[in-house]
Amino acid sequence: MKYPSKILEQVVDSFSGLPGIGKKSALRIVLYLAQNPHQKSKKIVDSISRMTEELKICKECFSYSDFDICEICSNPSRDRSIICVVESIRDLMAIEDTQQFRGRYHILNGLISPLDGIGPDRLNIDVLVERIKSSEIQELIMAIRPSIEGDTTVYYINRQVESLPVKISLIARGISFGSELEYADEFTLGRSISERIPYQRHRA
Amino acid sequence: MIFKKILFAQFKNLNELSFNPKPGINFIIGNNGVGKTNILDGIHFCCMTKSYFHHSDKMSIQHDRDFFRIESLLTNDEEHQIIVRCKKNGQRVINFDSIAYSKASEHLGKIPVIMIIPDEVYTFINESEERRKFINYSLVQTDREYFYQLNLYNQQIKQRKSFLKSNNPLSFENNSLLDAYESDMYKAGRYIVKARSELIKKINPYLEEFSREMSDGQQSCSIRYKSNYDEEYALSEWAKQRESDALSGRTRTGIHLDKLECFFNNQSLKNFGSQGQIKTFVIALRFAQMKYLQSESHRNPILLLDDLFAKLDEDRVAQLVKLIERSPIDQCFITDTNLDRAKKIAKQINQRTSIHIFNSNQLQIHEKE
Ligand SMILES: [Zn+2]
Repeated sequence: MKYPSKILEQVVDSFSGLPGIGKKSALRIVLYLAQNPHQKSKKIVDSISRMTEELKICKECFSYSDFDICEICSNPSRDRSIICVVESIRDLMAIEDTQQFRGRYHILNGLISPLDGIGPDRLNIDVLVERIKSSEIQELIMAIRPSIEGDTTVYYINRQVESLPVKISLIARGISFGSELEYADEFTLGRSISERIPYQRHRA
Repeated sequence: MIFKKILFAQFKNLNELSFNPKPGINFIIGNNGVGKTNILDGIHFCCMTKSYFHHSDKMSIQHDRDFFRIESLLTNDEEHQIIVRCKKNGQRVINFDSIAYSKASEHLGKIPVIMIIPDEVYTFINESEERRKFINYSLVQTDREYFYQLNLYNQQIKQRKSFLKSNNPLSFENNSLLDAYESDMYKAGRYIVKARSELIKKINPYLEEFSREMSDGQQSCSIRYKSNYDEEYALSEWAKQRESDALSGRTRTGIHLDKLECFFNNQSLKNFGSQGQIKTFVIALRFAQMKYLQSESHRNPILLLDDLFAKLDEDRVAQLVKLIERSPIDQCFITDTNLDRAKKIAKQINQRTSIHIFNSNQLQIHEKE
């Protein structure tokens, strides 16, 4: 495509290739911004530049934060004895949305997969072990998506903390709530039957 | 299940082709290179969600195109529609009655299928990889858990190999991650060995029956399964072999090295079998596999024969015709270059047959005279 301006072309280039954005959408966004330079563009530029300069990573849980310690970790009303271990910040946000969890988090920043160049040392696992040793944590909830890499990561973490006085639990997996059993794929259904939980525990 | 209509779009050299197969035996007649095998492979795609020949879906997309699509209509008691779409970027979507599967593997086994290719008659005897493929191909169509366990095993063996390659051997001892991989390989291996042994036990009587029938009682064939996995030692072997596996880049123990040995009249087919005996063995084995699929799934498999008759002498053609006749097939597809041969065989078969002539990108029914 031929651009009437080098400046325009450069902005299109930096937008295209972002997740979910191709050349065409990039051009659409950029033309829109070019027409509204003062309201929209300025705001976007400012917020992005503030993000790159001021966004922090929480020293406790590795979530994004405006401060050294994030709002969840510093909130005194959250249960300090229980930690929910997640793969990514997106998973943290999904669990927060449920409003069912009142403990704190630990973000691994990926799952173990040497094939993809991710060994245990690339993830926040050692710091998790340190965190357990140096505080009053009693339970780890592994909220890791069911997959081969996920299971391996859970196994590995379990082995790292097995000598410590901490209880490990897994989020229940299988049939999603409200879905009809008939439409669940056979494999998921089979797993949820073989890994069923006692009704009392389910109610508790 | 019976294919009633198949539409190919940009699938290999089939730019746009509509095919209306009939119940029973369908001959597809055309010159070399017109795309007869591609029709069979397209049918295979609808049954197994992938090509019989290529690992990567991309290889099946017509040159210079971004995707291919195969749309098929099937019927048994009711009608079903299967749509397979593959894009160049690797995306593959399989719709069954307008609902997309979340995993393509959910489709496996819905339409059991068998393919027989002349070249494989020789690779089967000479390559152990081909014989393991035969085992896996049979089991993934009948056992969903087998598919999962095999996938788990294959993935973890690769992860283990990759870890061994990129880490210091000093860290191998008491390594929880390697323990994790080996423990998964151990559990998956146990399931796989059991499933494989049972499969062979079930297939052997059929193999013996069919091979005797094909050879007028002269040749009694069997297969023997030998696993490279021992439940008692596997874990300690893997732990011991970490360092040497890291050096060699291979994994010396496990079900990926399982062996299947072929016999006729209790002699090794590989060492003592003639070309003819090997042909009889492989064909009888495929029909035994078909019988197995049918008895496990209670569905009649689709049979695909690629240019097989051209490679057989008259006696064996007659034997093959007999086997086809008495097999539990609702529908069979046979490609051939020779119309006269097809007509002759069609006359011998005591089942509904139709002949489709394939040229200039069209399939036309050849009317019987
Ligand atoms: Zn935090």
